[in-house]
Amino acid sequence: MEHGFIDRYGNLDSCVHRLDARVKILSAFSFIILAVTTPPKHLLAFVIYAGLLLWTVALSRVPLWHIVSRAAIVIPFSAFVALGLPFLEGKETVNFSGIDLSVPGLWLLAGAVMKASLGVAALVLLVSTTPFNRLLEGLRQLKVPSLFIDLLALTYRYVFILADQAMRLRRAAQARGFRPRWLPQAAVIGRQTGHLFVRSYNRAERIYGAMRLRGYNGSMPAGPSTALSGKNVLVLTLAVATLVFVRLFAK
Amino acid sequence: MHIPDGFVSGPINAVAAVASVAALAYSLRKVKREFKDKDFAVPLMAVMAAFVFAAQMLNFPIGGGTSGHFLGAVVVATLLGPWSACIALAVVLVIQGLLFADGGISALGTNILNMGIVGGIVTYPVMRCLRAILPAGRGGYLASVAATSWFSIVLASSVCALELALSGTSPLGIALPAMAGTHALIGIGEALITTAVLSAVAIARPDIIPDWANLKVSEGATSTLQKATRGLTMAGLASAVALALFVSPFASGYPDGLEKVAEDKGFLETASEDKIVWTKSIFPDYKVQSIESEGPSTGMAGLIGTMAVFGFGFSVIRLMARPNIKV
Repeated sequence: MEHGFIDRYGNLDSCVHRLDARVKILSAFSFIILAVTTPPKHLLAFVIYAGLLLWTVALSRVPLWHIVSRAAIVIPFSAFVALGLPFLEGKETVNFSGIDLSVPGLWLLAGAVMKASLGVAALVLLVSTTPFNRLLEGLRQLKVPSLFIDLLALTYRYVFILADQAMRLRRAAQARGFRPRWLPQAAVIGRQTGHLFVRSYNRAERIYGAMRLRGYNGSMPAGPSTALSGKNVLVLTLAVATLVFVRLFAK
Repeated sequence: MHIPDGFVSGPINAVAAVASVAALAYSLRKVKREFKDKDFAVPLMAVMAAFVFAAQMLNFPIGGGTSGHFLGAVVVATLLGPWSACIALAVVLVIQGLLFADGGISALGTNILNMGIVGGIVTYPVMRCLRAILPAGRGGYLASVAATSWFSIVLASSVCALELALSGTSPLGIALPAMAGTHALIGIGEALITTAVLSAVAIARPDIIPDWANLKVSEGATSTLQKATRGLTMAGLASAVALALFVSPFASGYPDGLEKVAEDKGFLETASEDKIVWTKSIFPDYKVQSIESEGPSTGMAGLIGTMAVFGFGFSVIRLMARPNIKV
């Protein structure tokens, strides 16, 4: 497995890593929902959200840079929205290098960027402190249908193999001097993808055969559902209560 | 096209999430029930999702140093059906959202709506209709798949632009042309890749291409589908010609709706016949000028017009049916 960038810090050990997956999933999801519904002008709330997040990152010993660098994924979308900004309605405007920008429009953009960055950071923190299998087990115990969890688990298993295969195809083409520059060259990438598809389909049949031999009959065996320990319940209650408090009262 | 948290408003995300959960639940039931070997559904869907994920890593150039990536909804839809496509795309989006924070969790429903439901399910009937009107054989099938995959990208990105506009994040006048414009190019890449994948499948695994693809042209005799298409075309043309020749002379001499409004609002005068382009039309007021008598003249104009429209439509479809696709 060459893709160390997938699921990188899930196996570290810290008090955050040791928490039950359900606690982390529910806290992260309520963090994201509350942050997304906060009006952009409540700057204090956003500062506190960021502070809470940084504190958890520090506790979890996940390198901060890992989380910040992932937040860069927000940039293309923000740039796209910024494109429409000069055309938004607004009475107040500020002049920025010759273009009149509406103040409400700028708030809109700032809000979206803050929310998107916090969302990405919370999610990256969640998966960096929870190995994927435990994340799925947590989701199963939170009543996500088993069939969908099985699908996610199997997909995750084969993403590593097929991504490796795709990267080998790409490297082989590069080694032969393939440096695509123009759209028509997508046809070559199409042939690689076709190759990948046929091999994937054949692989799916072999996998199914192997699963059948081992007694697969339509569903994967699931672990027993366990109740949350007192400590975990306490952490979850504290986290959600703090977040709701910040959302309602910090302006 | 993966929307992050905070760019689409709460109500839209909520409605999209409900729609996505409903579509997913329905698709899972459908796939479980309709699969020939029903236990094969889960491993096959999973590997297909992993394939889509891996294929999305193979970026293709658009030009000027930018690149786009494959979506894959139409490949899965054409081989395994629209419900499977929706499931595979949803699984990919959940994994991308969880592992790479690509696409926000609060916008997950919206992203599944755009790529899984719009890209995979909504475009499926379009593909089947295109397949039905294009001639039998591999060319016709690949052409219908190529056109659909281009369309799936443009439609999904337009819906994405619409959601941004409804959320007040970006005005529709900016978002729609920007999204649809760039994705019209990315769609060409999607079409190239989709066609290449299906050509590979047609060679290596013809057994998994569905029957409706109608890959084989039976030698000597034309296929039943082709006969049926030809019959339908001829019947349609005959009825259009009959209408033009025999019914149009008796068409109402009264002004039509637009003319009526124009008259009422008084802008028909500005369109008076000696001033503007209408008179330079070949058949002013739908009459052939060299024919004096009223009835046959209108009929003749109708016939020529009908044949012209048929000729144009027919050649457009023929051109679409025989693209220069290297297999």
